[in-house]
Amino acid sequence: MRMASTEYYYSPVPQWKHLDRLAVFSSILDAREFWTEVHDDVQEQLAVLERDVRQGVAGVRVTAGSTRGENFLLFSYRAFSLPESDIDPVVAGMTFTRADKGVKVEADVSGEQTGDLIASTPNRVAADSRHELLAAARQSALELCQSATAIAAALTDPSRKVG
Amino acid sequence: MIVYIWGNLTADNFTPRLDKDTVGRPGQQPGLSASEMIPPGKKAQGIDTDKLKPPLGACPDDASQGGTVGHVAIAPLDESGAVDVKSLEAWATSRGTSSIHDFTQILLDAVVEPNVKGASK
Repeated sequence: MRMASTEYYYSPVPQWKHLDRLAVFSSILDAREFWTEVHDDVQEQLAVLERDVRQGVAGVRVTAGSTRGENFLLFSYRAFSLPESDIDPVVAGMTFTRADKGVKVEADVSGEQTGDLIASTPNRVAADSRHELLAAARQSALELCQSATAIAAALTDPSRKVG
Repeated sequence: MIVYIWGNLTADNFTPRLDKDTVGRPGQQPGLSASEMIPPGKKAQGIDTDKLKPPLGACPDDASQGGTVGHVAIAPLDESGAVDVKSLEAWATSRGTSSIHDFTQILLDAVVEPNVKGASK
């Protein structure tokens, strides 16, 4: 007797939740959670800078944020501006990009739209490890925190007006 | 072609301003401004216009009509290649909010030279 075989087909059910658990990260640099941790750590340090700027500039508006792109791993920043002012906001930010042997950490204080450099720290290259990257980020953030006076001056400098 | 957005990698700096960037001028299309040059000593972000994904495109100024040589407007384009002003305005309204608009992310992904400095005189 021949048994009839039947094949059943089921439509796939869209399910996007928890797909991240399937990912196998080749490097810590590919892990979004790691960069969230770095961003949070940098922002914790920059809170000191914000406190100092607020003491020197009444009514300063401060926004924290981060961006990422295909050719940079993270840009974590705090932007300082004066409401109803044409003066270019000042950004204290840190950029992480891939380097030959690890990750380059660039930190500076500069105009958001004009790119005028107000303060900068030496570039650092950290090895591709959580400990070294966080240490480099913290050191750069500490150095950025020395810029409160320069930020306050830039925010009231009429030569920095933008159209 | 590499063009430069002057300033920082903040979400706001990669998002057009309502009115200032959403209205064209003689020889210049509306859109987020970029330039082929960087002022000396200033910081800018190098964008590869070939890496812009649709609907974004780069529109060089027409100097013969009053535009500026080396200036480029980056904007969403419609199927005919014209600036889609409604989409541009919708993009601009996301500026100053905490969210990153899809077009802003397309632009950030097209950055090939982060934090490049203009050569000193």
